[in-house]
Amino acid sequence: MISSIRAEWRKLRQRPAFAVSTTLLAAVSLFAYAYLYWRDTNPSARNAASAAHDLAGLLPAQFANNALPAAFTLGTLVAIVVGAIAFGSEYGWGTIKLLLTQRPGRLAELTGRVVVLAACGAILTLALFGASAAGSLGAALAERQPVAWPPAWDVALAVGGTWLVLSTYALLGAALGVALRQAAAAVGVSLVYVVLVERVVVQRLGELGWQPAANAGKLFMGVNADALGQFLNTAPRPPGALPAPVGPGQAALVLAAYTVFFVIVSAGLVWRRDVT
Amino acid sequence: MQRTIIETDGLTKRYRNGVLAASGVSMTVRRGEVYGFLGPNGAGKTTVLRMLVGLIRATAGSAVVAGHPPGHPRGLAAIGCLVEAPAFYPFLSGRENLRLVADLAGAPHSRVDGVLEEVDLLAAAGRRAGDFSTGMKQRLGVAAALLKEPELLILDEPTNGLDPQGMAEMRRLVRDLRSGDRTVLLSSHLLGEVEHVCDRVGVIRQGRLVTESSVADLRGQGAIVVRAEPQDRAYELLARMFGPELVSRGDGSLRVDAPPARMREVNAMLVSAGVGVSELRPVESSLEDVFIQLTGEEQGS
Repeated sequence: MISSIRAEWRKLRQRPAFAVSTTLLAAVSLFAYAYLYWRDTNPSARNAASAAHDLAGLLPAQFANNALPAAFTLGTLVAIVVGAIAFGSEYGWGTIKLLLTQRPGRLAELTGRVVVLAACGAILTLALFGASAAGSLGAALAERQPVAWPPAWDVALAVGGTWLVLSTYALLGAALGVALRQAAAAVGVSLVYVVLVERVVVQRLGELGWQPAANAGKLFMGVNADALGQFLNTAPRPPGALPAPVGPGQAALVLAAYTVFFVIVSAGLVWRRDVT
Repeated sequence: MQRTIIETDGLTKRYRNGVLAASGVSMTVRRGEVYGFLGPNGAGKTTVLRMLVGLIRATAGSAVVAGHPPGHPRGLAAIGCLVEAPAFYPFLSGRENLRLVADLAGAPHSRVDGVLEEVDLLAAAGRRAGDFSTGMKQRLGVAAALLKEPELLILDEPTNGLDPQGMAEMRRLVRDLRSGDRTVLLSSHLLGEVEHVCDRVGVIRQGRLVTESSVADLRGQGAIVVRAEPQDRAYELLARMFGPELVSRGDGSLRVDAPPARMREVNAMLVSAGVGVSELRPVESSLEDVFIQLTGEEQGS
Protein backbone atom coordinates (compact mmCIF):
# COMPACT_ATOMS: atom_id res chain seq x y z
CA MET A 1 0.00 0.00 0.00
CA ILE A 2 2.90 2.33 0.77
CA SER A 3 4.12 1.87 -2.79
CA SER A 4 0.78 2.83 -4.23
CA ILE A 5 0.54 5.88 -1.92
CA ARG A 6 4.00 6.96 -3.14
CA ALA A 7 2.99 6.52 -6.76
CA GLU A 8 -0.29 8.37 -6.29
CA TRP A 9 1.45 11.21 -4.53
CA ARG A 10 3.94 11.49 -7.40
CA LYS A 11 1.03 11.75 -9.78
CA LEU A 12 -1.04 14.16 -7.70
CA ARG A 13 1.66 16.68 -7.05
CA GLN A 14 2.30 17.03 -10.78
CA ARG A 15 -1.32 16.92 -11.89
CA PRO A 16 -2.20 20.31 -13.41
CA ALA A 17 -5.87 19.99 -12.42
CA PHE A 18 -4.92 19.77 -8.75
CA ALA A 19 -2.47 22.68 -8.90
CA VAL A 20 -5.07 24.81 -10.70
CA SER A 21 -7.81 23.86 -8.20
CA THR A 22 -5.68 24.66 -5.18
CA THR A 23 -4.50 27.93 -6.66
CA LEU A 24 -8.05 28.84 -7.65
CA LEU A 25 -9.35 28.31 -4.13
CA ALA A 26 -6.55 30.36 -2.59
CA ALA A 27 -6.86 33.09 -5.23
CA VAL A 28 -10.63 33.40 -4.82
CA SER A 29 -10.20 33.65 -1.07
CA LEU A 30 -7.57 36.37 -1.40
CA PHE A 31 -9.64 38.18 -4.01
CA ALA A 32 -12.64 38.15 -1.66
CA TYR A 33 -10.48 39.71 1.06
CA ALA A 34 -9.16 42.34 -1.36
CA TYR A 35 -12.64 43.19 -2.59
CA LEU A 36 -14.19 43.36 0.89
CA TYR A 37 -11.30 45.46 2.14
CA TRP A 38 -11.71 47.86 -0.76
CA ARG A 39 -15.46 48.03 -0.18
CA ASP A 40 -15.15 48.61 3.57
CA THR A 41 -12.45 51.25 3.19
CA ASN A 42 -14.48 53.19 0.62
CA PRO A 43 -17.49 54.15 2.71
CA SER A 44 -18.94 56.36 -0.03
CA ALA A 45 -20.76 53.29 -1.26
CA ARG A 46 -21.91 52.19 2.19
CA ASN A 47 -22.99 53.28 5.60
CA ALA A 48 -19.79 54.20 7.45
CA ALA A 49 -20.82 52.40 10.67
CA SER A 50 -21.61 49.21 8.81
CA ALA A 51 -18.32 49.46 6.89
CA ALA A 52 -16.32 49.76 10.11
CA HIS A 53 -18.13 46.74 11.54
CA ASP A 54 -17.47 44.70 8.43
CA LEU A 55 -13.84 45.78 8.38
CA ALA A 56 -13.44 44.30 11.86
CA GLY A 57 -14.68 41.03 10.41
CA LEU A 58 -11.70 40.94 8.05
CA LEU A 59 -9.13 40.95 10.83
CA PRO A 60 -7.17 37.81 11.86
CA ALA A 61 -9.51 36.98 14.74
CA GLN A 62 -12.12 36.07 12.13
CA PHE A 63 -9.94 34.38 9.52
CA ALA A 64 -11.20 30.84 10.20
CA ASN A 65 -14.82 31.99 10.14
CA ASN A 66 -14.15 33.76 6.84
CA ALA A 67 -12.62 30.64 5.28
CA LEU A 68 -15.64 28.47 6.07
CA PRO A 69 -18.19 29.90 3.60
CA ALA A 70 -15.73 29.51 0.71
CA ALA A 71 -14.87 26.01 1.87
CA PHE A 72 -18.48 24.88 2.07
CA THR A 73 -19.48 26.34 -1.31
CA LEU A 74 -16.65 26.68 -3.81
CA GLY A 75 -14.45 24.25 -1.86
CA THR A 76 -16.92 21.38 -2.07
CA LEU A 77 -17.40 21.90 -5.80
CA VAL A 78 -13.65 21.96 -6.39
CA ALA A 79 -13.26 18.84 -4.24
CA ILE A 80 -15.84 17.01 -6.38
CA VAL A 81 -13.98 17.99 -9.55
CA VAL A 82 -10.61 16.89 -8.12
CA GLY A 83 -12.03 13.53 -6.96
CA ALA A 84 -13.77 12.87 -10.26
CA ILE A 85 -10.68 13.74 -12.28
CA ALA A 86 -8.33 11.76 -10.02
CA PHE A 87 -10.37 8.56 -10.31
CA GLY A 88 -12.31 8.95 -13.56
CA SER A 89 -9.39 9.95 -15.76
CA GLU A 90 -7.68 6.61 -15.04
CA TYR A 91 -10.40 5.03 -17.15
CA GLY A 92 -10.41 7.76 -19.80
CA TRP A 93 -6.66 7.48 -20.34
CA GLY A 94 -6.62 3.71 -19.88
CA THR A 95 -4.00 4.08 -17.14
CA ILE A 96 -6.11 1.92 -14.84
CA LYS A 97 -4.59 -1.04 -16.70
CA LEU A 98 -1.12 0.25 -15.96
CA LEU A 99 -2.01 0.56 -12.25
CA LEU A 100 -3.68 -2.83 -11.91
CA THR A 101 -0.98 -4.84 -13.64
CA GLN A 102 1.80 -3.73 -11.30
CA ARG A 103 2.62 -5.29 -7.99
CA PRO A 104 -0.10 -4.05 -5.61
CA GLY A 105 -3.43 -5.81 -5.77
CA ARG A 106 -6.58 -3.98 -6.74
CA LEU A 107 -7.62 -3.01 -3.22
CA ALA A 108 -4.13 -1.92 -2.14
CA GLU A 109 -3.91 0.24 -5.23
CA LEU A 110 -7.33 1.77 -4.50
CA THR A 111 -6.40 2.37 -0.87
CA GLY A 112 -3.39 4.35 -2.05
CA ARG A 113 -5.60 6.49 -4.23
CA VAL A 114 -8.10 7.09 -1.40
CA VAL A 115 -5.36 8.06 1.06
CA VAL A 116 -3.85 10.51 -1.39
CA LEU A 117 -7.28 11.94 -2.21
CA ALA A 118 -7.81 12.53 1.51
CA ALA A 119 -4.43 14.25 1.60
CA CYS A 120 -5.60 16.29 -1.34
CA GLY A 121 -8.64 17.35 0.73
CA ALA A 122 -6.25 18.41 3.47
CA ILE A 123 -4.17 20.45 1.05
CA LEU A 124 -7.25 22.20 -0.33
CA THR A 125 -8.34 22.95 3.25
CA LEU A 126 -4.96 24.35 4.18
CA ALA A 127 -4.86 26.43 1.00
CA LEU A 128 -8.20 27.97 1.92
CA PHE A 129 -7.33 28.67 5.52
CA GLY A 130 -3.82 29.80 4.58
CA ALA A 131 -5.15 32.26 2.03
CA SER A 132 -7.74 33.48 4.52
CA ALA A 133 -5.06 33.93 7.18
CA ALA A 134 -2.85 35.81 4.72
CA GLY A 135 -5.75 38.03 3.66
CA SER A 136 -6.70 38.83 7.24
CA LEU A 137 -3.09 39.56 8.13
CA GLY A 138 -2.88 41.92 5.15
CA ALA A 139 -6.04 43.70 6.30
CA ALA A 140 -4.67 44.04 9.85
CA LEU A 141 -1.35 45.40 8.63
CA ALA A 142 -3.02 47.81 6.23
CA GLU A 143 -5.28 49.09 9.02
CA ARG A 144 -2.46 49.08 11.58
CA GLN A 145 -4.56 46.87 13.84
CA PRO A 146 -3.09 44.45 16.38
CA VAL A 147 -2.78 40.93 15.00
CA ALA A 148 -4.89 38.70 17.23
CA TRP A 149 -5.51 35.15 16.00
CA PRO A 150 -8.52 33.10 17.05
CA PRO A 151 -8.08 30.33 19.67
CA ALA A 152 -6.05 27.42 18.26
CA TRP A 153 -8.76 24.91 19.20
CA ASP A 154 -11.37 26.79 17.18
CA VAL A 155 -9.02 26.88 14.21
CA ALA A 156 -8.23 23.18 14.57
CA LEU A 157 -11.93 22.31 14.70
CA ALA A 158 -12.66 24.45 11.65
CA VAL A 159 -9.76 22.94 9.69
CA GLY A 160 -10.69 19.37 10.73
CA GLY A 161 -14.36 19.87 9.91
CA THR A 162 -13.55 21.43 6.55
CA TRP A 163 -11.18 18.56 5.75
CA LEU A 164 -13.94 16.07 6.50
CA VAL A 165 -16.41 17.91 4.29
CA LEU A 166 -13.99 18.36 1.38
CA SER A 167 -12.85 14.74 1.60
CA THR A 168 -16.45 13.54 1.57
CA TYR A 169 -17.25 15.55 -1.54
CA ALA A 170 -13.98 14.53 -3.22
CA LEU A 171 -14.87 10.88 -2.57
CA LEU A 172 -18.33 11.46 -4.06
CA GLY A 173 -16.64 12.64 -7.26
CA ALA A 174 -14.20 9.73 -7.06
CA ALA A 175 -16.90 7.09 -6.61
CA LEU A 176 -18.82 8.48 -9.56
CA GLY A 177 -15.58 8.62 -11.56
CA VAL A 178 -15.12 4.90 -10.93
CA ALA A 179 -18.78 4.07 -11.52
CA LEU A 180 -19.05 6.02 -14.77
CA ARG A 181 -15.47 5.23 -15.85
CA GLN A 182 -14.77 8.80 -16.91
CA ALA A 183 -14.14 12.17 -15.33
CA ALA A 184 -16.40 14.50 -17.32
CA ALA A 185 -19.64 12.62 -16.69
CA ALA A 186 -18.71 12.15 -13.04
CA VAL A 187 -18.16 15.90 -12.60
CA GLY A 188 -21.42 16.67 -14.36
CA VAL A 189 -23.54 14.16 -12.47
CA SER A 190 -22.14 15.03 -9.06
CA LEU A 191 -22.46 18.77 -9.57
CA VAL A 192 -26.06 18.45 -10.77
CA TYR A 193 -26.79 16.24 -7.77
CA VAL A 194 -25.17 18.50 -5.19
CA VAL A 195 -26.26 21.84 -6.60
CA LEU A 196 -29.74 20.91 -7.75
CA VAL A 197 -31.17 17.47 -7.00
CA GLU A 198 -30.24 17.23 -3.33
CA ARG A 199 -31.52 20.70 -2.51
CA VAL A 200 -34.82 20.13 -4.30
CA VAL A 201 -35.33 16.72 -2.69
CA VAL A 202 -34.55 18.01 0.81
CA GLN A 203 -36.86 20.98 0.28
CA ARG A 204 -39.72 18.78 -0.93
CA LEU A 205 -39.23 16.33 1.94
CA GLY A 206 -39.47 19.24 4.38
CA GLU A 207 -42.65 20.48 2.72
CA LEU A 208 -44.43 17.16 3.14
CA GLY A 209 -45.09 17.90 6.82
CA TRP A 210 -44.43 14.25 7.66
CA GLN A 211 -41.84 13.62 10.34
CA PRO A 212 -40.21 10.49 8.81
CA ALA A 213 -39.73 12.41 5.55
CA ALA A 214 -38.24 15.36 7.42
CA ASN A 215 -35.91 12.99 9.27
CA ALA A 216 -34.86 11.42 5.98
CA GLY A 217 -33.98 14.89 4.75
CA LYS A 218 -31.51 15.17 7.63
CA LEU A 219 -29.44 12.34 6.20
CA PHE A 220 -28.35 14.16 3.05
CA MET A 221 -24.77 15.27 2.61
CA GLY A 222 -25.52 18.93 2.01
CA VAL A 223 -27.73 19.25 5.09
CA ASN A 224 -25.05 17.79 7.33
CA ALA A 225 -22.24 19.73 5.71
CA ASP A 226 -24.17 22.99 6.19
CA ALA A 227 -24.93 22.06 9.79
CA LEU A 228 -21.28 21.35 10.49
CA GLY A 229 -20.34 24.66 8.88
CA GLN A 230 -22.77 26.53 11.10
CA PHE A 231 -21.32 24.87 14.18
CA LEU A 232 -17.73 25.60 13.21
CA ASN A 233 -18.44 29.26 12.54
CA THR A 234 -17.94 31.05 15.86
CA ALA A 235 -19.12 34.45 14.58
CA PRO A 236 -22.38 35.73 16.08
CA ARG A 237 -25.30 34.41 14.08
CA PRO A 238 -27.32 36.97 12.12
CA PRO A 239 -30.71 37.74 13.66
CA GLY A 240 -33.48 35.52 12.32
CA ALA A 241 -31.09 32.81 11.09
CA LEU A 242 -32.62 29.34 11.32
CA PRO A 243 -30.86 26.84 13.59
CA ALA A 244 -29.09 23.91 11.97
CA PRO A 245 -31.45 20.94 11.54
CA VAL A 246 -28.90 18.52 13.02
CA GLY A 247 -26.26 18.78 15.73
CA PRO A 248 -22.51 18.85 14.94
CA GLY A 249 -21.94 15.32 16.26
CA GLN A 250 -24.56 13.82 13.99
CA ALA A 251 -23.36 15.93 11.07
CA ALA A 252 -19.77 14.68 11.47
CA LEU A 253 -20.94 11.09 11.85
CA VAL A 254 -23.20 11.23 8.80
CA LEU A 255 -20.41 12.75 6.70
CA ALA A 256 -17.96 10.13 7.94
CA ALA A 257 -20.51 7.46 7.03
CA TYR A 258 -20.73 8.93 3.54
CA THR A 259 -16.93 8.76 3.15
CA VAL A 260 -16.98 5.09 4.19
CA PHE A 261 -19.89 4.43 1.83
CA PHE A 262 -18.13 6.05 -1.14
CA VAL A 263 -14.94 4.12 -0.41
CA ILE A 264 -16.88 0.84 -0.19
CA VAL A 265 -18.70 1.55 -3.45
CA SER A 266 -15.42 2.40 -5.22
CA ALA A 267 -13.69 -0.64 -3.76
CA GLY A 268 -16.54 -2.93 -4.75
CA LEU A 269 -16.48 -1.67 -8.31
CA VAL A 270 -12.69 -1.80 -8.61
CA TRP A 271 -12.55 -5.27 -7.08
CA ARG A 272 -15.32 -6.90 -9.07
CA ARG A 273 -15.38 -5.19 -12.40
CA ASP A 274 -13.55 -6.32 -15.52
CA VAL A 275 -11.12 -3.78 -16.93
CA THR A 276 -11.44 -3.90 -20.70
CA MET B 1 10.99 -24.34 -9.88
CA GLN B 2 8.12 -25.34 -12.19
CA ARG B 3 8.89 -25.87 -15.87
CA THR B 4 5.79 -23.99 -16.96
CA ILE B 5 5.19 -20.34 -16.22
CA ILE B 6 1.69 -20.16 -17.67
CA GLU B 7 -0.79 -22.98 -17.56
CA THR B 8 -4.43 -22.53 -18.38
CA ASP B 9 -7.19 -25.08 -18.26
CA GLY B 10 -10.39 -24.44 -20.18
CA LEU B 11 -10.14 -20.69 -19.81
CA THR B 12 -13.40 -19.20 -20.97
CA LYS B 13 -14.72 -15.68 -21.09
CA ARG B 14 -18.23 -14.68 -21.99
CA TYR B 15 -18.85 -10.95 -21.76
CA ARG B 16 -22.06 -9.55 -20.36
CA ASN B 17 -23.29 -8.77 -23.86
CA GLY B 18 -23.20 -12.49 -24.56
CA VAL B 19 -20.09 -12.46 -26.73
CA LEU B 20 -17.98 -15.56 -26.17
CA ALA B 21 -14.49 -14.11 -26.54
CA ALA B 22 -12.53 -17.14 -25.35
CA SER B 23 -13.71 -20.70 -25.09
CA GLY B 24 -11.94 -23.53 -23.30
CA VAL B 25 -8.42 -22.23 -23.90
CA SER B 26 -5.86 -24.65 -22.46
CA MET B 27 -2.34 -23.48 -23.14
CA THR B 28 1.08 -24.03 -21.66
CA VAL B 29 3.99 -21.63 -21.79
CA ARG B 30 7.33 -23.04 -20.66
CA ARG B 31 9.91 -21.09 -18.74
CA GLY B 32 12.55 -19.45 -20.89
CA GLU B 33 10.77 -19.73 -24.21
CA VAL B 34 9.37 -17.13 -26.56
CA TYR B 35 5.78 -18.12 -27.14
CA GLY B 36 3.87 -16.62 -30.02
CA PHE B 37 0.17 -16.21 -29.54
CA LEU B 38 -1.27 -16.02 -33.01
CA GLY B 39 -4.70 -15.29 -34.30
CA PRO B 40 -6.55 -12.97 -36.60
CA ASN B 41 -7.94 -9.71 -35.27
CA GLY B 42 -10.86 -10.40 -32.95
CA ALA B 43 -9.85 -14.04 -32.40
CA GLY B 44 -9.66 -13.58 -28.62
CA LYS B 45 -5.92 -13.04 -28.08
CA THR B 46 -6.28 -9.88 -26.03
CA THR B 47 -9.12 -11.38 -23.99
CA VAL B 48 -6.89 -14.30 -22.99
CA LEU B 49 -4.01 -11.97 -22.14
CA ARG B 50 -6.32 -9.76 -20.06
CA MET B 51 -7.36 -12.85 -18.12
CA LEU B 52 -3.75 -13.88 -17.59
CA VAL B 53 -2.83 -10.53 -16.00
CA GLY B 54 -6.05 -10.33 -13.99
CA LEU B 55 -7.66 -7.40 -15.77
CA ILE B 56 -10.73 -9.49 -16.47
CA ARG B 57 -12.01 -12.59 -14.72
CA ALA B 58 -12.60 -15.87 -16.47
CA THR B 59 -16.19 -17.07 -16.71
CA ALA B 60 -14.94 -20.65 -16.47
CA GLY B 61 -11.67 -22.53 -16.32
CA SER B 62 -8.53 -21.70 -14.43
CA ALA B 63 -5.03 -20.37 -14.93
CA VAL B 64 -1.77 -20.30 -13.05
CA VAL B 65 0.58 -17.50 -14.05
CA ALA B 66 4.04 -17.26 -12.50
CA GLY B 67 2.89 -19.68 -9.81
CA HIS B 68 -0.22 -17.78 -8.78
CA PRO B 69 -3.77 -17.17 -9.91
CA PRO B 70 -4.09 -14.26 -12.36
CA GLY B 71 -4.03 -10.83 -10.68
CA HIS B 72 -2.38 -12.09 -7.50
CA PRO B 73 0.12 -9.47 -6.27
CA ARG B 74 2.94 -12.05 -6.06
CA GLY B 75 2.26 -13.21 -9.56
CA LEU B 76 2.04 -9.64 -10.85
CA ALA B 77 5.42 -8.92 -9.27
CA ALA B 78 6.96 -11.40 -11.72
CA ILE B 79 5.10 -10.19 -14.82
CA GLY B 80 5.86 -7.25 -17.05
CA CYS B 81 3.12 -6.62 -19.56
CA LEU B 82 1.99 -4.42 -22.35
CA VAL B 83 -1.60 -5.35 -23.03
CA GLU B 84 -3.30 -3.42 -25.83
CA ALA B 85 -2.27 0.18 -26.43
CA PRO B 86 0.18 1.54 -23.88
CA ALA B 87 -1.42 4.09 -21.56
CA PHE B 88 0.49 6.73 -19.66
CA TYR B 89 -0.19 9.96 -17.80
CA PRO B 90 0.06 12.63 -20.49
CA PHE B 91 1.05 15.37 -18.06
CA LEU B 92 4.05 13.43 -16.75
CA SER B 93 7.32 13.03 -18.63
CA GLY B 94 8.32 9.62 -19.92
CA ARG B 95 10.80 9.31 -17.07
CA GLU B 96 8.26 10.37 -14.40
CA ASN B 97 5.76 7.86 -15.77
CA LEU B 98 8.35 5.12 -15.33
CA ARG B 99 9.23 6.34 -11.83
CA LEU B 100 5.54 6.05 -10.97
CA VAL B 101 5.46 2.52 -12.36
CA ALA B 102 8.64 1.75 -10.42
CA ASP B 103 6.94 2.99 -7.22
CA LEU B 104 4.02 0.66 -7.82
CA ALA B 105 6.13 -2.27 -8.92
CA GLY B 106 8.62 -1.95 -6.08
CA ALA B 107 11.44 -1.52 -8.59
CA PRO B 108 14.38 0.76 -7.81
CA HIS B 109 14.34 4.15 -9.54
CA SER B 110 17.90 3.48 -10.62
CA ARG B 111 16.52 1.06 -13.23
CA VAL B 112 14.45 3.73 -14.95
CA ASP B 113 17.19 5.22 -17.11
CA GLY B 114 18.50 1.75 -17.88
CA VAL B 115 15.23 0.56 -19.39
CA LEU B 116 14.79 3.88 -21.17
CA GLU B 117 18.16 3.30 -22.79
CA GLU B 118 17.20 -0.27 -23.61
CA VAL B 119 14.25 0.96 -25.67
CA ASP B 120 16.22 3.91 -27.06
CA LEU B 121 14.12 6.58 -25.35
CA LEU B 122 16.65 8.07 -22.98
CA ALA B 123 17.10 11.25 -25.01
CA ALA B 124 13.35 11.93 -25.04
CA ALA B 125 12.70 10.86 -21.44
CA GLY B 126 12.18 14.41 -20.19
CA ARG B 127 9.39 15.15 -22.65
CA ARG B 128 5.74 14.88 -21.69
CA ALA B 129 4.36 11.45 -22.54
CA GLY B 130 1.35 13.20 -24.08
CA ASP B 131 3.68 14.55 -26.77
CA PHE B 132 5.14 11.14 -27.64
CA SER B 133 4.48 9.56 -31.03
CA THR B 134 2.72 6.20 -31.21
CA GLY B 135 6.04 4.41 -31.66
CA MET B 136 7.58 6.19 -28.67
CA LYS B 137 4.57 5.28 -26.54
CA GLN B 138 4.91 1.64 -27.58
CA ARG B 139 8.58 1.68 -26.62
CA LEU B 140 7.76 3.40 -23.33
CA GLY B 141 5.21 0.63 -22.75
CA VAL B 142 7.90 -1.99 -23.26
CA ALA B 143 10.22 -0.05 -20.94
CA ALA B 144 7.50 -0.02 -18.25
CA ALA B 145 7.06 -3.76 -18.69
CA LEU B 146 10.80 -4.31 -18.24
CA LEU B 147 11.14 -2.25 -15.06
CA LYS B 148 10.47 -5.17 -12.75
CA GLU B 149 13.06 -7.34 -14.50
CA PRO B 150 10.15 -9.72 -15.02
CA GLU B 151 10.37 -13.48 -15.29
CA LEU B 152 7.48 -13.28 -17.74
CA LEU B 153 7.05 -10.57 -20.32
CA ILE B 154 3.65 -10.34 -22.02
CA LEU B 155 3.52 -8.20 -25.14
CA ASP B 156 0.23 -7.76 -26.94
CA GLU B 157 0.62 -6.69 -30.56
CA PRO B 158 3.68 -4.54 -29.80
CA THR B 159 4.00 -3.36 -33.41
CA ASN B 160 0.41 -2.11 -33.65
CA GLY B 161 0.19 1.37 -35.10
CA LEU B 162 3.88 1.57 -35.94
CA ASP B 163 5.31 2.63 -39.27
CA PRO B 164 7.63 0.16 -41.07
CA GLN B 165 10.72 1.60 -39.41
CA GLY B 166 9.06 1.44 -36.00
CA MET B 167 7.99 -2.15 -36.64
CA ALA B 168 11.54 -3.10 -37.56
CA GLU B 169 12.84 -1.45 -34.37
CA MET B 170 10.24 -3.22 -32.28
CA ARG B 171 11.12 -6.60 -33.83
CA ARG B 172 14.77 -6.00 -33.02
CA LEU B 173 13.80 -5.08 -29.49
CA VAL B 174 11.70 -8.22 -29.03
CA ARG B 175 14.59 -10.34 -30.32
CA ASP B 176 16.88 -8.68 -27.77
CA LEU B 177 14.38 -9.33 -24.98
CA ARG B 178 14.60 -13.09 -25.25
CA SER B 179 17.98 -13.10 -23.56
CA GLY B 180 18.55 -15.07 -20.38
CA ASP B 181 15.83 -17.07 -18.66
CA ARG B 182 13.11 -14.61 -19.43
CA THR B 183 9.89 -15.99 -20.88
CA VAL B 184 8.20 -13.87 -23.51
CA LEU B 185 4.59 -14.26 -24.54
CA LEU B 186 4.15 -12.35 -27.76
CA SER B 187 0.71 -11.90 -29.19
CA SER B 188 0.42 -10.90 -32.81
CA HIS B 189 -1.41 -11.37 -36.04
CA LEU B 190 1.77 -10.55 -37.99
CA LEU B 191 3.45 -13.83 -38.76
CA GLY B 192 6.80 -12.40 -39.80
CA GLU B 193 7.00 -10.90 -36.33
CA VAL B 194 6.47 -14.28 -34.72
CA GLU B 195 8.19 -16.67 -37.11
CA HIS B 196 11.70 -15.44 -36.46
CA VAL B 197 11.59 -14.92 -32.72
CA CYS B 198 9.29 -17.57 -31.27
CA ASP B 199 10.10 -21.10 -30.12
CA ARG B 200 6.52 -22.23 -29.88
CA VAL B 201 3.20 -20.82 -30.95
CA GLY B 202 -0.42 -21.17 -30.02
CA VAL B 203 -2.99 -20.34 -32.67
CA ILE B 204 -6.36 -19.05 -31.59
CA ARG B 205 -9.40 -18.77 -33.77
CA GLN B 206 -12.85 -17.57 -32.74
CA GLY B 207 -11.87 -17.85 -29.11
CA ARG B 208 -10.57 -21.42 -29.34
CA LEU B 209 -6.97 -22.57 -29.27
CA VAL B 210 -6.74 -24.57 -32.49
CA THR B 211 -3.15 -25.68 -32.14
CA GLU B 212 -0.12 -25.33 -29.88
CA SER B 213 3.22 -26.48 -31.18
CA SER B 214 6.82 -25.54 -31.87
CA VAL B 215 7.30 -23.27 -34.88
CA ALA B 216 9.42 -25.95 -36.55
CA ASP B 217 6.80 -28.66 -36.08
CA LEU B 218 4.05 -26.37 -37.24
CA ARG B 219 5.87 -25.47 -40.43
CA GLY B 220 7.27 -28.92 -41.07
CA GLN B 221 4.34 -31.17 -40.34
CA GLY B 222 3.30 -30.93 -43.96
CA ALA B 223 5.22 -33.41 -46.11
CA ILE B 224 8.36 -35.24 -47.22
CA VAL B 225 9.90 -34.81 -50.68
CA VAL B 226 11.58 -37.91 -52.14
CA ARG B 227 13.77 -38.00 -55.26
CA ALA B 228 14.57 -41.62 -56.06
CA GLU B 229 15.31 -43.98 -58.98
CA PRO B 230 13.47 -45.84 -60.30
CA GLN B 231 10.68 -43.42 -59.49
CA ASP B 232 7.80 -45.80 -60.34
CA ARG B 233 9.14 -48.41 -57.92
CA ALA B 234 9.57 -45.76 -55.24
CA TYR B 235 6.00 -44.55 -55.81
CA GLU B 236 4.71 -48.09 -55.48
CA LEU B 237 6.55 -48.67 -52.20
CA LEU B 238 5.53 -45.35 -50.70
CA ALA B 239 1.89 -45.81 -51.72
CA ARG B 240 1.96 -49.18 -50.02
CA MET B 241 3.51 -47.66 -46.89
CA PHE B 242 1.32 -44.54 -46.52
CA GLY B 243 -1.62 -45.13 -48.83
CA PRO B 244 -1.86 -43.82 -52.40
CA GLU B 245 -3.90 -40.79 -51.37
CA LEU B 246 -0.89 -39.39 -49.48
CA VAL B 247 1.66 -39.80 -52.28
CA SER B 248 1.80 -37.57 -55.35
CA ARG B 249 4.14 -37.06 -58.27
CA GLY B 250 5.55 -33.76 -59.40
CA ASP B 251 8.60 -32.15 -60.98
CA GLY B 252 10.74 -35.31 -61.01
CA SER B 253 10.10 -36.06 -57.37
CA LEU B 254 7.50 -37.59 -55.11
CA ARG B 255 5.67 -35.82 -52.30
CA VAL B 256 4.47 -37.78 -49.30
CA ASP B 257 2.03 -36.04 -46.96
CA ALA B 258 3.54 -37.48 -43.81
CA PRO B 259 5.38 -36.03 -40.83
CA PRO B 260 9.10 -35.36 -41.48
CA ALA B 261 9.80 -37.45 -38.39
CA ARG B 262 9.20 -40.49 -40.60
CA MET B 263 11.98 -39.61 -43.10
CA ARG B 264 14.44 -42.06 -41.57
CA GLU B 265 11.90 -44.87 -41.86
CA VAL B 266 11.18 -43.92 -45.49
CA ASN B 267 14.86 -43.90 -46.36
CA ALA B 268 15.49 -47.32 -44.76
CA MET B 269 12.51 -48.84 -46.52
CA LEU B 270 13.49 -47.50 -49.98
CA VAL B 271 17.17 -48.44 -49.62
CA SER B 272 16.36 -51.96 -48.40
CA ALA B 273 14.14 -52.38 -51.48
CA GLY B 274 17.06 -51.43 -53.73
CA VAL B 275 15.78 -47.96 -54.65
CA GLY B 276 18.44 -45.27 -54.95
CA VAL B 277 17.52 -42.22 -52.90
CA SER B 278 19.14 -38.99 -54.13
CA GLU B 279 17.08 -36.52 -52.10
CA LEU B 280 14.97 -36.77 -49.00
CA ARG B 281 13.83 -33.59 -47.29
CA PRO B 282 10.91 -32.19 -45.32
CA VAL B 283 8.61 -29.71 -47.00
CA GLU B 284 8.36 -26.76 -44.62
CA SER B 285 5.21 -24.83 -45.07
CA SER B 286 5.59 -21.17 -44.24
CA LEU B 287 3.94 -20.16 -41.01
CA GLU B 288 1.60 -18.09 -43.10
CA ASP B 289 0.41 -21.21 -45.00
CA VAL B 290 -0.22 -22.99 -41.74
CA PHE B 291 -1.91 -19.96 -40.25
CA ILE B 292 -4.26 -19.64 -43.21
CA GLN B 293 -4.97 -23.36 -43.09
CA LEU B 294 -5.74 -23.22 -39.35
CA THR B 295 -7.67 -20.01 -39.20
CA GLY B 296 -8.97 -19.54 -42.68
CA GLU B 297 -7.60 -15.99 -42.59
CA GLU B 298 -5.17 -14.12 -44.79
CA GLN B 299 -2.32 -12.53 -42.86
CA GLY B 300 -3.13 -9.13 -41.48
CA SER B 301 -6.83 -9.47 -42.14
